[in-house]
Amino acid sequence: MAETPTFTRRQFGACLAAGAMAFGFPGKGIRRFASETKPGSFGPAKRVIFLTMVGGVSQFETLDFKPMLSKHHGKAMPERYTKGQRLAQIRGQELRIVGSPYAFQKYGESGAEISELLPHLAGVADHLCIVRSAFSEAINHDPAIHFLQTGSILPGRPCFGAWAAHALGGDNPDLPAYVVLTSGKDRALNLHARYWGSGFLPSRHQGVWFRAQGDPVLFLADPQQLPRALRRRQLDALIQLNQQQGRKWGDPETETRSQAYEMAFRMQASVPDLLDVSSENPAALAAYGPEVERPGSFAAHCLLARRMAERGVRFIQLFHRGWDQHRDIPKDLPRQCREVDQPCAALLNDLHQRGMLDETLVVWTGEFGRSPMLQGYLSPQRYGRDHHMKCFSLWMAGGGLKAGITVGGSDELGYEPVLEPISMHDLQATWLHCLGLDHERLVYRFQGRDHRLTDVGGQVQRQLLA
Amino acid sequence: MASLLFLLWFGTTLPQAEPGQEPAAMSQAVRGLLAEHCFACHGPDAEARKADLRLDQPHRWLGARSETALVLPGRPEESELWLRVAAEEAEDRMPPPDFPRPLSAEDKELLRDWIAGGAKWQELWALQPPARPPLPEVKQSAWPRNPVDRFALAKLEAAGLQPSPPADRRRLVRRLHLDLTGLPPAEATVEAFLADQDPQAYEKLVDRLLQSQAHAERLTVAWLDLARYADSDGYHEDGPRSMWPYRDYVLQSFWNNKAFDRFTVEQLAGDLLPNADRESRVATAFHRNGPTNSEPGADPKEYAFRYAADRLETTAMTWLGLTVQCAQCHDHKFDPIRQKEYFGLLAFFNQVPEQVLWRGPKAPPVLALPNEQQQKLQLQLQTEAERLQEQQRGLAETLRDTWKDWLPAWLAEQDSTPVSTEDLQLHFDLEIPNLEEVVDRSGSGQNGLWMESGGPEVPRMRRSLLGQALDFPGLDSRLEAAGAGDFEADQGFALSFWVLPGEFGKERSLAGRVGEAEADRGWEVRLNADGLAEFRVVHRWPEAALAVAGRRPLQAGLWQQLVVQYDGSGKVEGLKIFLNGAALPLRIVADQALVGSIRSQAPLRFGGRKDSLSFRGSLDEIRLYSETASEALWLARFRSDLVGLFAGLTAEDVPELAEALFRATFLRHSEAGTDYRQGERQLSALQDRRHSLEQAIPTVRVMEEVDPPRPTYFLHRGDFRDPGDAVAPGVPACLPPLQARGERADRLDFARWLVDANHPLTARVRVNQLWALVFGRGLVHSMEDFGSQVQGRHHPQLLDWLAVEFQHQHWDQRAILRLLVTSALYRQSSRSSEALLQKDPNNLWWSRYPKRRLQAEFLRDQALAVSGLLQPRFGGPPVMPYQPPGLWLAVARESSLRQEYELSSGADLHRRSLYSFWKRSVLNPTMAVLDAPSREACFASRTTTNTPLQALVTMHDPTFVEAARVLAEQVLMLPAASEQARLQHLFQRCLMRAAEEEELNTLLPLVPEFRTYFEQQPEAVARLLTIGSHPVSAEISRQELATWTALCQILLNLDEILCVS
Repeated sequence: MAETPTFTRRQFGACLAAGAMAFGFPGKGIRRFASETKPGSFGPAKRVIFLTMVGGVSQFETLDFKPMLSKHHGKAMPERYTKGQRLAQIRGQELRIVGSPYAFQKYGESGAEISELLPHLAGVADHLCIVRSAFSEAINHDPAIHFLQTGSILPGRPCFGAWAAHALGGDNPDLPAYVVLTSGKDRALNLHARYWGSGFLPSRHQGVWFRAQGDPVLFLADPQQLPRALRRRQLDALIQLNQQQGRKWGDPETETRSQAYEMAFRMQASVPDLLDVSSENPAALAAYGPEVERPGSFAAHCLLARRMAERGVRFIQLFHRGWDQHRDIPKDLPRQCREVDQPCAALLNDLHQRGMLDETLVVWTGEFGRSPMLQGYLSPQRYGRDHHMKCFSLWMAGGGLKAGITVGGSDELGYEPVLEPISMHDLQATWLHCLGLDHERLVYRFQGRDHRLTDVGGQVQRQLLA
Repeated sequence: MASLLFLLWFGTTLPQAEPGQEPAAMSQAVRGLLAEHCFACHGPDAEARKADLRLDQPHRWLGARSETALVLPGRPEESELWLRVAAEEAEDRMPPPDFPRPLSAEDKELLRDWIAGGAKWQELWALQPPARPPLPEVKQSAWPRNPVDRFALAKLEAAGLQPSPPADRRRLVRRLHLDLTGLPPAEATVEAFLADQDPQAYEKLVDRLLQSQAHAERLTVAWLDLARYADSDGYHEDGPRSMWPYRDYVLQSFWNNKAFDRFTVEQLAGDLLPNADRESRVATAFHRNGPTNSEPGADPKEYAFRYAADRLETTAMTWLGLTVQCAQCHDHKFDPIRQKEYFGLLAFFNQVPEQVLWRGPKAPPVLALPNEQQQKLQLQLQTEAERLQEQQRGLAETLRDTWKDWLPAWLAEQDSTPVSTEDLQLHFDLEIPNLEEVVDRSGSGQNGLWMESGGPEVPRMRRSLLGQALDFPGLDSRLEAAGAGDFEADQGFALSFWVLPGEFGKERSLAGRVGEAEADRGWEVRLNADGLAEFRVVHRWPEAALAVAGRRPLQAGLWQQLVVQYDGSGKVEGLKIFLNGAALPLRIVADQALVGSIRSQAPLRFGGRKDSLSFRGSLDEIRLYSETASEALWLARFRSDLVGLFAGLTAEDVPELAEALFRATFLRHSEAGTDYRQGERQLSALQDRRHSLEQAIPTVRVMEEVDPPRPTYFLHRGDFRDPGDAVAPGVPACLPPLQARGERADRLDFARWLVDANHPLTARVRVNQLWALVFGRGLVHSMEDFGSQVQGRHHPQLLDWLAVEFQHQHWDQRAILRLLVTSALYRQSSRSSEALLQKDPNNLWWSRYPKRRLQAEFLRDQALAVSGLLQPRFGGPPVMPYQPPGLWLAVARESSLRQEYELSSGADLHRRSLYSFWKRSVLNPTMAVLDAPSREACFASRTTTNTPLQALVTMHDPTFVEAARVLAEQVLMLPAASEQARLQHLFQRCLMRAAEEEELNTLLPLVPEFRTYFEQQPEAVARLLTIGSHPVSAEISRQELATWTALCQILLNLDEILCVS
């Protein structure tokens, strides 16, 4: 399993500029399909900003307008929907319909139906490609997040970001190809580092978690805070000593290691530069909302996502927690929507104004949706919804997708898709397609099997493509 | 994986042509090729098979006549197989053009050569028991030191390669220490070895190292990857678990050089051994190491299946080297394993009586492991408790005579104002003529209904001091109040009643609302067999439930007042039980988050569940409150009952009440009861000590078998929701038959089968793992796959020879390792010349010692060792060394168990890395960055990457900074040495060699530069020197220390020190 220590490294040395390998270069083994593509022009999307709403967003209060739920509010859910179906926490309970107390309107030229909880997003409706007929195969968080991230409900497979980093590398040798930012709190749900893991792909493709507390990249700062020049001297000595031994022992890996140190050195400058938003235009900053000033907020992360996109990070993934609203939608969902609504809209506008939206695939989704059935109390002040995997909504934008469309539809009670059902593997195939990658050919052999992000399924959803 | 990557790079495919390829090897190469390119449609999987053609069974297609045979040995041009492969026309060609893995020109040539050479076919090599091959002849007969060298040299010579010259002794001694112990040698060890003139000096050193604890620690690190050992649960909130006694079992086993067959049987079935003991039962924790889930909405059936599948996959990867998991959803595509056989294997591993969705460290079945001292203390405390109880009984007896005179005066003093009852939801005082209607006095109109299931006619009302009481005969009779007690999980409530229990000895339900069809949803007060009151609040029992039990029993045959209350917090601390107005000390029975409703369709029942747990005894003065109350208020209510109801009566009037009154009033409040109360306090302190002792006793999750065995079902497409026929435990037909001891084979039969002398895989797989420990990579590169798709199998005979030798040596792992590290092959230099890089770029033929980066644990251990910080304690509970603050908290859910990292202190900061707390969801970042797996599943080998994040770790992680500082301190302590001498000392200490001239020239000019900086920047010095816990020596100039720390950081980051070479 060890990556070949010598030969391939020599190959790298032969065909690449020094220093490109550690983050910036695609993984080996990928040559077979990527050889036709030229670096830098992979597909319409050059990068991904993936906004993961951990816990499962309720589509009924946000993107999937279901008047019939309000009409039958409080009544028993017809058994024909739920008989023999998998349920999570409301298993064995009386199943009642619950409608949304929030108003929907049509927005933009496209007339997208969006709830009053997302007013800023409504303002950019014509950028959006809304899907209301997505479905997952897992009903609990952990497997469902794995399914969204890796195409498998079991831990251990590479996530989308790692696949992208593996296949395409990054455009900036001084920054990781795949960066992860986390925000929000959750009463019931942990995040796991494996959600952004590289599985069986080489571990350098795993997401690098940028933190709001302490060093943004772990151990980035040197504790004595040497001046750059002195630090450089320390590094030069190290590299010189390595070279002296390397010449004697003939191991090409020694040189590679020195290059990794060089890049670490550059990251000590490039990462703080990335995070220093003092040069941002105050008006542009304000567009992200008041929370943008608070390090670690979703708004601050949206701004950073744009800055990373500008700097050549291939895959930027934001995890925002707090959507698992089993009991208290009226209390928790408006707050949660406020946290993401304005920053998301600002991000899309910002990318658009800089001419980057077309080449940036933006995805906003939970790991599944929430049930049309009630959980907890039935009162306008206090009600909840259980997990729902059969049908949920998400929005995407940019990166080769059609703008201003709404695709798919659920049945009148929002239980199952009736128009254009789109599976998680379909979505993944489409996302890869936007990056210029064929999901059936982006394979990696592990334990005797060729693995794909889309496992054995997935069809590119042409109707979503521009 | 290495050769796969390398080959893909060039667009060629496996298998590689090897020099001097013999027919057997060619046959295996062809099998690999067919597996890769053809088996997907023409292989073992019956469902996927096309044209009814099966290429893994040659008797179906090898033949003499072209009409019936695909392959005519010796005549490729007449063989359909060749014609199809070579076809010009796309529509005739195989594999079809759209198949993602086309055959290369080399592949086709191999096929043609193979047919031309007679199309010799051998069954899958890995399924044939290894036979000891003869030692091959070699030209350089002086070079080999042992049989390993003969095989290796034969391959080297065939490839036109020379072995490398021996490594110099300084490098060799460092290499040997790092490979066998994961630690560098001490300077003195190096010097002693160099000075040792004995020709056996090296072998003596090998033997000493093999017997060391450090060696056991090194082997354990590798084994823990296979055993997917971790200190946290893995799924969901990833709470802590106690598994370290298993880690210590592995350490001890390696240290004692336990034979591998015994090591195997103990871990897989130590609980079933006829002489199972503590050690062998701890060993079975191997299969409780897998990740577990406690997510409340999860389906226990799904996870029960996952756990069993994880056990099977781990077993297969660790011992069989087969990708058995590929047969979970369909027949294996490449190897002869049927889907049905997968479930036959699974049946060995799904027989554990576990609570699937358990929250908390001690998921049953667990084994408590008191040490000798704790066992002694347990006994001592029990004796002491019995003595005290006896004393209290005696004291009570002597006081009993005087209390009756005392009572009336005391009662008279009590405040008799009725306690507020605004929140009273239900009140049955039972002062009613008959049971036709049980009247509620609370005013809410919830009258009770008496339910009876027949039985002998006996009076149900009993006369008591409280007037009338309700008598339960223990025969499914009960009182119901349909509308009362329907509380939600976030509402507080309390129930109080007087109770006179009959005899104990059986579990009883006193009261509650329990939806028995809804996994016991609701709440309930029980009396267990020991007379302990238990209070449960349940969403689903037991995986989403809170429950506590009193630690002092009620008294049978006596009246006492019992109160249970829940505060609606969703926390187990919100459950309370009061006995006679005083809070009972409690034990937590269940603490599994209440994530859903506790409301059920069931009525509130008193005196038993619908058809079970019938109470025998009497109840009276039943009150249900919709609010909680303080202990003071409960005491007031209790006294109010006493005063209001019993004033004017004497104890003799109702003897069953006497005891409660005696205890609750006299003993608690009278002057005469002082000694008794003192005794009570002692007893309670003693109980606390017993409890904390119980908590301190380590536990470990272990395996057990359910009795009777559970059926195992074939699952269509591997879907747990789609079961088919029952499948009996068994092993695949392609492997030797399993001898069961009884009618039904069990885990012990399976474990013994694995280490049977005829088993073709176990010994091969293990010697391959041992080889990889010291040579960095297996003799077979795909350590987890010895099947048709094996990767990098270049020394089949050497592997077989070692496997036979291993069994011959009674599975002695130390003997095999000794053989490996004393070989000439191992002692080669690691230098890569241009010529070697040309001829053997990937070191497939071991033409040199494979230089490689140290793995995560050993890099950190080395820094601790060279600085002298390392604390060599062997075994023990996990420790928490430096880690950036906030990492756990950033991803934890708000109600996680142990969501904050608790930094260790003192010596525990500097233990070897294998003792660090292994949290799966947030692995220690230093380990994670250096490629350590988070151990969510069995890991047969690690990748080794080389990234800037690693550079940041070894430069800035506090462990490494502190190590550099302490190392600097030690060279500065050298008396009056020159800077040059200090540098020399550093090189000796870190690299076991002298610094070369040019190295000194590189480093020496840095000293004044850093010195000048630190002299001007006292804050920088201060920042640097506060890192780590090791005290800064007062004898050394702080600037000088900072300067040399910066130099030591360079030393600790040299490629040479990061690698073993």
